[in-house]
Amino acid sequence: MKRVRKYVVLTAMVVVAISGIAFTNTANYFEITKNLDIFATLYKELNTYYVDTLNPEKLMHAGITQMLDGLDPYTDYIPEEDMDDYRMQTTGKYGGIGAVIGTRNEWVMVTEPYEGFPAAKAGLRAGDKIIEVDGKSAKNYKTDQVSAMLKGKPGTDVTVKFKRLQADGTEGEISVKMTREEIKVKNVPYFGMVGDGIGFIRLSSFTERAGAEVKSALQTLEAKGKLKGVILDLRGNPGGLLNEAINVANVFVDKNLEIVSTKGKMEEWNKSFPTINEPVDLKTPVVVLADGGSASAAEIVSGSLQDLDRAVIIGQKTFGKGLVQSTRSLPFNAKLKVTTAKYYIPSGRCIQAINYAERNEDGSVKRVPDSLKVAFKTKYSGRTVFDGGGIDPDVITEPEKLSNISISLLTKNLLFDYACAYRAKHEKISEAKSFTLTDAEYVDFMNWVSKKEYDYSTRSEKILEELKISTEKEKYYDAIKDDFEAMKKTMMHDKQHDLEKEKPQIKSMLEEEIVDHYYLNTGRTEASFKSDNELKKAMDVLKDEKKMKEILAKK
Amino acid sequence: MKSKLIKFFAVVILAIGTMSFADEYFEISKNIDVFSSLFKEVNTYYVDDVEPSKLMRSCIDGMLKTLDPFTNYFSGSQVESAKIQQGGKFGGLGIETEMMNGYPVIISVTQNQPADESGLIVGDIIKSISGLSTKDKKKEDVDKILVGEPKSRMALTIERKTSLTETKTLSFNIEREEIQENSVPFYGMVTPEIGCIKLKIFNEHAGKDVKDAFDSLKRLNPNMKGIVLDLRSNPGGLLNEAVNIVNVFVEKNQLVVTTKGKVDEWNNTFKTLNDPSDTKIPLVLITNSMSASASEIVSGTMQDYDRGVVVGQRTYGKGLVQVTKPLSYNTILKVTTAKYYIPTGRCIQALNYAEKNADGSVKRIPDSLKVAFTTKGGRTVFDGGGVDPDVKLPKQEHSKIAETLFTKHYVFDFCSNYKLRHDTITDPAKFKLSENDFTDFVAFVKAKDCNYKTESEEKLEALREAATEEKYFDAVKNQYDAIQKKLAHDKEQDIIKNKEEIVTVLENEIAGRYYYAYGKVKKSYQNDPEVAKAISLINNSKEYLELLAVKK
Repeated sequence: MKRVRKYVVLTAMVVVAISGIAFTNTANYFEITKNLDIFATLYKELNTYYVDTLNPEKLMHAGITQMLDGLDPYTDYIPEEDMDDYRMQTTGKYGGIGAVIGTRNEWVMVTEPYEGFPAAKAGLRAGDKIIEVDGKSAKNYKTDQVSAMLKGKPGTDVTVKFKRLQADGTEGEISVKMTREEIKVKNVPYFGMVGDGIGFIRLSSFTERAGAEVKSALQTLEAKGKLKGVILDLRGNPGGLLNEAINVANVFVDKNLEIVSTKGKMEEWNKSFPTINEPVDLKTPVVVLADGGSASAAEIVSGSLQDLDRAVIIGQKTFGKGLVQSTRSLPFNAKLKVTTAKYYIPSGRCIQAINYAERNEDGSVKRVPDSLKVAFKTKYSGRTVFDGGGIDPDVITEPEKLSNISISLLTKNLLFDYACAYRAKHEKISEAKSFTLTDAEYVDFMNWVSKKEYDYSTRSEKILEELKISTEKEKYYDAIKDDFEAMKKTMMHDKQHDLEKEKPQIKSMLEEEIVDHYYLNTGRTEASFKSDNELKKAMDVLKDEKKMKEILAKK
Repeated sequence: MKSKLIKFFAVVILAIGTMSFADEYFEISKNIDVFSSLFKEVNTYYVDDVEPSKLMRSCIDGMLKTLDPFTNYFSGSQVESAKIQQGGKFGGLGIETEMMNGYPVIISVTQNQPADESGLIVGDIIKSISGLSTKDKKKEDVDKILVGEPKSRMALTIERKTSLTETKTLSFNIEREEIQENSVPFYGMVTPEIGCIKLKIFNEHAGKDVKDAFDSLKRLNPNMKGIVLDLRSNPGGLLNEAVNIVNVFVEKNQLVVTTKGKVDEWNNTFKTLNDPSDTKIPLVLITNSMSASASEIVSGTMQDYDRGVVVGQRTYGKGLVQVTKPLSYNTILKVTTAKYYIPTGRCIQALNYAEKNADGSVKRIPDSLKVAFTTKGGRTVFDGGGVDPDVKLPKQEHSKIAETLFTKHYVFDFCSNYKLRHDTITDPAKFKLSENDFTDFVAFVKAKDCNYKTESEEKLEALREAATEEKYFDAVKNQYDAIQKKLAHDKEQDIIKNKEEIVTVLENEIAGRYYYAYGKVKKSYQNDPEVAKAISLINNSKEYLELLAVKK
């Protein structure tokens, strides 16, 4: 699967009860009070005297945002109105129909129904345009407005009228009544066998029950027969709850092993988090897939399995977030998510890559330089591992880069739209793992897309234009005109040519998209296997017993 | 030459009674409550040690950033310098410095002020102040030590070049005096019949300074037939002084400015209060894009009353008024409280800070939304974007080489050497750099490191990086090399190519070394297309009157 790698990093939350506020010393206390006094007078004056009417809430929010941005990107203020989203992020739960929606022109559209939830059960498809909810027109509504209409208490009914593309290219209207359920977004959206006795578990988040889901997935796979190996896919997993990271690691390592310790400014934050359950499997070889989008809790799992010499890590260096946040209550139901500690994995290393406390003169952040990285030893084999910059995989693979044309097709939703049209014309397709587009079908796609508006310019093209403007201004252009034109001709892109050149990449992205419109996320995952080079590498390594041992053994 | 972005102040002190935020009171105290808890929690629990005042500063900056650039907060230590900027009164020596090679160097000396009277000159290197070494200090820190209570004394150790090869260390002990910054660095006759006044700031006595300058020119030159008021790069200042300056040329009891804020009671009108000096003499105002605020009131009002012709470039477009409010712990808030409107009723504010684009960038008022107003005589003028000159002239720009010679201080150093070799020069208006002197300058620079990249070269380099990354570079390498060769430039050639401009820069700087700011301005007017246009307008009364007449 081609993932556009978003380095979105969620939280690693620990909720620990702390009593009252204890100030470290009186000087600090005076400073805090003094500054609060200044703030209060300034804020009142501003709201009173400013030439335009201000929104006090928005104004304060802007101040808090800038203040907290100066600390680190994870320390956040959550006003009351954002609490629902925040809770959803940490619990993965909400009441609704279970569909991802997004705005396209004047309508909000279903982009992905979740498997097993009301929308999917009622037959809603990706591409369906929501035109009415409970009799109320949704024309020109924004995504969050439609989302609010669809969400509600589990057990209540909602009627959705939508437009769907048909085989002849026209749109038909369909109305469906659904009963809302508690939607629990799965942490393990997919698990299954990928061949040769190797099991595969994708873990895409760490909300409540992530540990239980991984445990149950592994037990289900093991019930089918002896596993030769298991792949835990943490690519693009932004993290979540710290306790769930311990629980996930615990599936593969013994009880009573320290996975994480945290250290903060205050004594009470220094804590140790050991495994507390019986493991599921201590023997079967494990490969963890990780990449630059694997952060926080995902790094605790991959890092602790590396430090405990339990798994081989394959992929790319992980994000490097070694900071722990906790949530503190504020008046009026607001919350503060504040970085209270750093965490350390079993070898004793902290994998935080950026030191937010010490910045460059211009305020930009510093990465920990290689020369200052400290070496640590893994627990059993004594392999050397380093702190200060994420988890380094034991086997590094090159990430697949999307071409400019692929990015443009993706962001302009043209792959999605083509898949909708394809779905309307073909009632059935072969199973996800074996589905392929024929060459004739790819030509059909090329013809279809040639009528669409999309473009992309390469960075070179953009700078070339700037060069022209500068040289004209500085009166060099006439002298370089011929060379410039020749250069431009060589560098100009051609869409039809790029569609041919990038065919392997575009074709497999398109196949995955089409499969998704029939078999949802499970289908997409399975369709992605055939072009997933990191998965192939993981299988090769798992099958090579000697290699596995060699990697995990002391050098 | 260097366009320094000076903070624009238009300070009006209005008496304001009780605060009334009955409706908003709950919202405000609720937010303060939330903020207080958050601030305490962050200071207490954050993983690293944090400084409360630094956090607060960034919070306040974050809030004020969403408003407009003129609403600012000054912490206790900033208040002192803010006072100086506003009032123009402080104890000092009357010098400006700039850091060169790690030390502050005097770049200008004000005539008849303590430094000048003690014999300090431009080019002196300040090695220590009251025993403290100045090596590698920041300019703002040096400036902070230089100012202080009037009558206080300070010791300076100066290194001065006494010949091309020798330097001498000198000690000075100087008493600070209250420095009244001169708002009119130059006034004088630019032709036998035309006077010119340069106003650089609207401080407390700007109105009086302009009036005195005009009256004195008129007294000494009874045949004066026109006056030029140079408002270029004048960032504004006190609103009342703008009214007083208008009043020099406009009748008593005329409306100049109306301010309007959120609350009715803060609305105010400002009229001329005094008897004018001359309501008839032809007047040309010169403006540029850095003429802001009070400068725009003066130029806009003259336009609205058809009293003068505005020449130059469209002004900055600042139609917002600030007041300063003291807060607790000696801190200050400068806050925009009103918009101002000039006599036709137009507001010249160019940016609408209240409605931002989706990406947070500020919206310029589009031409289609600009409203037409009618001047007293019936000409059409517009709001929403500064004062549009009646005669538009292209912006004066410096070549890359001239900028480089200036910022690397080669112009400055050459002029210091020139001063060593020439005890006096002729009247600045007549002073010319000789051919030999220019040849000397070329030779002087030739020995120096004077590398600079043209914009084209910078772009070409960026192109190479992008093309390499996107794997086009090998295919275009031949063209790249060819272009690179053609863009290559030679500093000596560039200096000769831009000789006229560079000579002007040198002459202005040298004039300043002998005749202070006055001489520098006087010399620069000799070679100034905008001043030339102003003069020609006054000399050609037909054109002047046509510009002020209603267009048919």
